[in-house]
Amino acid sequence: MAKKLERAKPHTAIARRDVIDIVKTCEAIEDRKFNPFLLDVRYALNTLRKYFPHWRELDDHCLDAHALNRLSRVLRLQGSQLRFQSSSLYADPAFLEEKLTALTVKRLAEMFVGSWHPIAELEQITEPSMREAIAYWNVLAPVDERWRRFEMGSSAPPGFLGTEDLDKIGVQAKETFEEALSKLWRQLKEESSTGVVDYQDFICREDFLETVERAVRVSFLVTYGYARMVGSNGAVQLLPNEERKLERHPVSFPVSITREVWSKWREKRKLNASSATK
Amino acid sequence: MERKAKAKRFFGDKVKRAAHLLLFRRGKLPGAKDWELRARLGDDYEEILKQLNELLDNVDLEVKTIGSTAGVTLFGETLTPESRYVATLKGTISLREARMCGWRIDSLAALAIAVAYIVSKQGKAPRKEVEKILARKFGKWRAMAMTDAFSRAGYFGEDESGMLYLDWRTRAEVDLRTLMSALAEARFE
Repeated sequence: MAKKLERAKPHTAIARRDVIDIVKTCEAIEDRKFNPFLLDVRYALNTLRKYFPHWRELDDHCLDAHALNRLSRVLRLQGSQLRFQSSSLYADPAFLEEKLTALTVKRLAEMFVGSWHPIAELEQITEPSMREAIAYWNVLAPVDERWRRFEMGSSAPPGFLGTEDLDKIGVQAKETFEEALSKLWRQLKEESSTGVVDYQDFICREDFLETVERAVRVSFLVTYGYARMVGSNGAVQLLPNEERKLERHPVSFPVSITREVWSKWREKRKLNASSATK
Repeated sequence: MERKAKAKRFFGDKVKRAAHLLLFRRGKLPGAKDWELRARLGDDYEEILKQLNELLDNVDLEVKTIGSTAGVTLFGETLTPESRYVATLKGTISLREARMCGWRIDSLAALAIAVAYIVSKQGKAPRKEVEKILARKFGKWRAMAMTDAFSRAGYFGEDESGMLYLDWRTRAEVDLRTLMSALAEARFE
């Protein structure tokens, strides 16, 4: 009899692996990766029941309790899905996705507006906004002085603007913001393949405006998880991510770039470049 | 003899005060919380809001209550007892009016896509998936920027595991049943 029991006793490692599998499946279901009905709860409970008498260590009992807790959450999700499917809000996600892709932007906007009841609210004057307004009014020059600035006198006859000029004054961009970010991300990946990329070196350019533009774009890359900033020996390094990876607990890192800071960076960059060529 | 049923009272000044509380924004969020209304209007605040609702009805507005929790309140999940009252448009506006209010057609369409997608996933969907479906129409970077903007405006909330859920503003402003029915009835173009 004792021998029979011994034979029936499962291998502890296999039992643990089975329970961990149940926990992982439950977690994936909770993260909306799978349909809650994918898990056969009865089978999972039977598995837990089968292994329960053989657990001897506290950790195993904790794992068993954890799995039971996760299973109960999956059961709750199954219940809410049944309620949801019986409600008028139910739509098959795959079918809806196809429909959302096929419908035009205007049609979608019309549909949304048809079900939209925006909140009615009025902004009102508050003490801080009044103070801000008074400060602005106090430094504002009289109208005649302001108009004097626009008296240009005789000027050159009107001419034509090319794409370059339009790009310069910000009317029409040569490349979209999306393209510019993708280009910068590729450049960062290329530079990091040859060595460590210093933040200052990467964003600093001969032109101040270009430097600020690069800093803004890098901040977008970092915020959207395409690159990360790491501090090392007082310097900040930029590391590209192979694919988008969002930070769980993002931290704000303000970088102030004035003309003085930029000229220092530029000098340093020049020195680094000349030492590298030597 | 039994006393006659309570005569209907009209709270003139208090109705005005309730309108001020609901329509003028004082803090980060619009509207007023139930405890705030009780403190300023008294225990009869629900009756006062009813009277205000009757008046607002003439100008196509209505008073609505929303759960003020940061979590999911749809589909029978957690709901805090604290509620927020807001005044919303009773009817709907045209696309042209929406544009005049400062909304772009792209943003409205993106909001429709994101809300419908999250609803189809039972009120919670991974941020990445929402961005992916938006990116098909608006490009990757704009999809990310729009998701951020909607979250900041209070349409979506995001939990620690990166799941987006419908937040207070969607609950207050969007009639999900009408939206889902419209999408279900829409023909492929």
